[in-house]
Amino acid sequence: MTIYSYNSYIKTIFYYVIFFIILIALTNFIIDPGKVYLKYSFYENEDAAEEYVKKLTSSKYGLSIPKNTWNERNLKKMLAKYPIDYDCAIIGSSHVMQVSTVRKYNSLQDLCSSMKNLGVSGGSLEDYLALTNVILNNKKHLPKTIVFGVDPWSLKLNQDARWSEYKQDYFDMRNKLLLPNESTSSNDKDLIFNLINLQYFKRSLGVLFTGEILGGSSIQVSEFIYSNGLTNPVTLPDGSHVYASEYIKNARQSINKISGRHNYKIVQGKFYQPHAVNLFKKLITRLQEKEINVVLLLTPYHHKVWNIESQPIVEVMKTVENKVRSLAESLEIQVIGSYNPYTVGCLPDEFYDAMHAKSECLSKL
Amino acid sequence: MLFNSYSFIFLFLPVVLLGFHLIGKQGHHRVAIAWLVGASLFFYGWWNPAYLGLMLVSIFFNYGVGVALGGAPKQPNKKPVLIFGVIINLGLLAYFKYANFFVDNLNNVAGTNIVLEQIILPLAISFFTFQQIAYLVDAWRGETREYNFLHYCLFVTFFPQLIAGPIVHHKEMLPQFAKDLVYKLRSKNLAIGLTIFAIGLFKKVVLADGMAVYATPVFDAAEAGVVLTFFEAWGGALAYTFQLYFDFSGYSDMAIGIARMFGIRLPLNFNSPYKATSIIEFWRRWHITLSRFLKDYLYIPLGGSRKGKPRRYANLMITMILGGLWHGAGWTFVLWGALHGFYLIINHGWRAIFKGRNKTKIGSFFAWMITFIAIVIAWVPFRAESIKGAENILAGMAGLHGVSLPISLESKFLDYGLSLSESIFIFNGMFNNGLFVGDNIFAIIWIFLLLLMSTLLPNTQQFMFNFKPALETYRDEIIQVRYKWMEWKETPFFGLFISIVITISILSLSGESEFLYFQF
Repeated sequence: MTIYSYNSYIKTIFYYVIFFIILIALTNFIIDPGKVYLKYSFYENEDAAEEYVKKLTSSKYGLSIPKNTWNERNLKKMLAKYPIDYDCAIIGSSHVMQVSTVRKYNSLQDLCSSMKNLGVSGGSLEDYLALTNVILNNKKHLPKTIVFGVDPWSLKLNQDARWSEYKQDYFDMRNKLLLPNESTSSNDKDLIFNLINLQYFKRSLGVLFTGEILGGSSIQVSEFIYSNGLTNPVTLPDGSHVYASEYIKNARQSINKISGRHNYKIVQGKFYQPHAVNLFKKLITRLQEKEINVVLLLTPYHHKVWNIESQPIVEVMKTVENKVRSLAESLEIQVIGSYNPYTVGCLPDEFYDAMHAKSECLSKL
Repeated sequence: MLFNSYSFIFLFLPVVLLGFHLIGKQGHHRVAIAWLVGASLFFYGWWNPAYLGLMLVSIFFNYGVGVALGGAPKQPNKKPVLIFGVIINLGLLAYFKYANFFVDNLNNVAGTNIVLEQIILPLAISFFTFQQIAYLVDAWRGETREYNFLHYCLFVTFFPQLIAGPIVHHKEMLPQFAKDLVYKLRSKNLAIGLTIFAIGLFKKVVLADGMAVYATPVFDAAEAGVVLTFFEAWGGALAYTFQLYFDFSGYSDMAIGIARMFGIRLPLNFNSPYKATSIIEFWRRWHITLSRFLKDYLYIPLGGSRKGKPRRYANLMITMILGGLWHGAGWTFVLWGALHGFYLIINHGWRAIFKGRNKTKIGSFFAWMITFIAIVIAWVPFRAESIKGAENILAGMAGLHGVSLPISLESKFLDYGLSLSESIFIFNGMFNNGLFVGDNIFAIIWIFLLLLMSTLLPNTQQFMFNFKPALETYRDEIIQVRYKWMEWKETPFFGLFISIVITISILSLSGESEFLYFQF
C-alpha cells in the first residue's frame, strides 16, 4: 500500500475537496433544477410551459396531463403570469385545488365569476408570497380578489420544501414586505450556498441521469363527468384540478378507513409561529394597499377527523381557526368556511379522504 | 459559533490555527497561548457576549481559590476554603440552572405564587463549573502544581472542548500546554486532526441531523397528546437513540480532531456505547469523561462500594439522579437518571449472583439486546419535554395504544381466516399518524443502517488505533480492529475517502443545527 507523507495526504484532501465542490457547484449552476440562476433551464422546457398555459386557458374542458410530466409550480407560476383578465386568484394547497368557477358545483360564486386557481400540492405560506409576487408583477391584469386557502399549517414557515421551485419570487416578495431591519439574510448569500447544497445537487443529478425534461405532453379533453375523472388528472381552464379516475375510485374505498388520527403537517411543533403570522399580515396589508380584496378560505376536514375530540389535531384546527378569524378581524377581511365540516354543511361522502373535500362540499363555501 | 458552520470551518478555524502556529513558531509561547485564549473567548462570546463576564469571573475566582489551596495535601485549615469554593461554584450553577425549576416546584407543592424572572442559562456552565470544581478538589488534595494563569485560562476556555466537553482534567491538559512541541505546526497532527474532524462532522450533519427529522415529529406529537401506536413510538425512540449518539459522539470527535490540529490531545468520550452488553459497560463507553467525573468526585466521596451493598446501591442511585439533573433542570432528567441508577443496581446485583460465569455467544447477544432496549427506553424521558409526553411514547412502545399494521395485511389475515377486530391490532399503516417524513420504508432502512453502524463498525479511536488520537481512560477496552485495512493510514485511498466524507458534509451544512449537548 502506498504511504504518503502527511503533507501529501493533506494536499490530496485539499485538492479533492476543492475539485468536488467546484464540480458540484458547476453542476448545480448549469442544470439548475429550481431555475434560480439561469433564465433558461435544462430541466424544463419554458416555452412549452407558456404554450401549455395558452392552450389551457383557451380550452373548453381543460387539459389532461400524464403524471410527472410537468412541474406543477412552474405551470401555476405561468398561469399567474399569463395576461388575461380575471376576478379572483386562489392560492393554497391541494385543499383548494378543486375550487373552480367552471364546474357544475362552482365555489365562491358571489365573489368570482372568473378565476385562476393557483393551488399547488403542499402549498404553504412561502407559496403565498411567491405567487403573489408573480401576480403583482403582472400589473396590467391584476385580480380584484385574492383568496388564500389557509390550512392548519399555513401560519408556519418551513413546513414544506417544494416552494423552493420559485425561491427567487419568494425572496423578492419577502424582501419587499420586511422592513430593512427585519431582513433576515441576503438573497445572494442564500443563492451562493445553494450551489453547494446537497438536496439541490440530488435534484440536479436526478435531471442529469434520468434525462427527464419537464414540459411534456398534454391532451385536450372533451366533456367528461368530473366526479368520475379520466385516466390522467385533468386541469380545467381556470387551473382547478380534477383527480384521475383511479384516485377517485380508491378514495371512495378508503374513506371508511379514516381513523381520525390524521396529522398531515399539523402537530409538528407549534400551532402557529408569530413571525409567520406577522409576515402573512404584511402580505395582506400590501394587497390591501393595492386595493385588492383579500379573502381567507378555510376548507373542512372530514367528519371522522373532527369527531374525535380527544385528538389534539382538533385542538390545533380550532386554535388556528381562531387565530385566522382574529387576524381577519384586525385587517377587516372576510373569512369563508371552516375546518369544521358541520359548520360548512358538508356531508361525509363529499370528501375524497380525511382532508380533501370534493367540489360538492366546496361549492357550499 | 457552531463547529458545523461555514464561518467556523472556513474562517475561524483556519485563522486561529494559522495565528497560533505562526506566533508559536517565533518562540512567543505566552503570546500564542494568549491568542488561543482570546480566540476561545471570542468563540464563546459569539452566542451572547454577556456570558463572557460570568465566565471570566469564574476563572479568576477559581484560580485564586486554587492558589490558596495549594501546598501540602489536605491541610485541615484549608478545608473551609475548599468548601467555600465548591459552594460558590455550585451556587452559581444552582442559580442559573435550577432556580426556575426549584421555584416552579415550590409553587406547585406549597401553593405559593413566587414569580422569578426567567433566568437564561449561560452556555456550557455545567461543563466549565465541573472542570473547575475538580481542579479545586485536586488542589486541596495536593494533586495540582503551581500552574501559570494563562495556562489555567486556556484549560477552562479551550474552544474545542468548551461548549460540550469532553470534560477535561487539569492533569491531562495543563502539562500539554507547557510542551514546546505543541507550538510547532506538525503535518502529522494536522492530518490526524483533519481526519477525525471530518468523521465527526459527517456523523453530525449527515447521520444525526438525518435522524432528527424522524425523531422530532414523534416527540412533538407526543407532547401535543397524539396517541402514538407501537411502531411510531419505537421508530421515534430509536431515531432519537441514534440522533443523540451520532450528534454527541460527532461533536466529541470534532473536538478531539480540532484539538489535535493544535497539537493537544483531549480525552476520549465515546467508545461505541451501543456495543455494550451491560449497563455497567455502557457507562464505561458513553460520555466517558462525565462518568469519570461522577465516579471520582461524587460516587467515591459518597463512600462508593466501601460501605456495604445497601450503601453502595444508594450511592449509585444518588450519583445517577444527580447525573441526570446535571443534564437539565427537569423531572424528565431525574427520571432518566433514576432509571439508569435502577439499571445499574440490577446489573451489579446480577453480577454478584452470577459471578464467574462465562458468557456464551447467544448469552452475549441477549445481554446486548436487553441492554440496548433498556437504553432506548431511558432515552425517552431524556428527550421528552414533560413526563406526560414520555408516558405517551412509553405507552405506545408497550403496545398500550395498539399496533397499527400495513393496510395491505388486512386482506391477507382475512384470507387465512384470521380476524383481529377485537385485538390490539389495527390495519391503518405502520405509521398511521403520518409522523415520519417522506417514505416510511426509507426511514426504517435508515434506522437499521445506523444500528448496524453503531454496533458493528469500528469507532474513530479504533479507526485511528495506531495514532492514539485521544487520551484514553480505559485503554485496555479499545480493541484493535480485526481487519488491518480498516485502520487509517496516510494513504491515497484514505485521502480520497476523507475528501468524499468532507464534501458530503459540506454539502449538508446548509441547514446548520445546534448540537444536542449544548443545552446541558
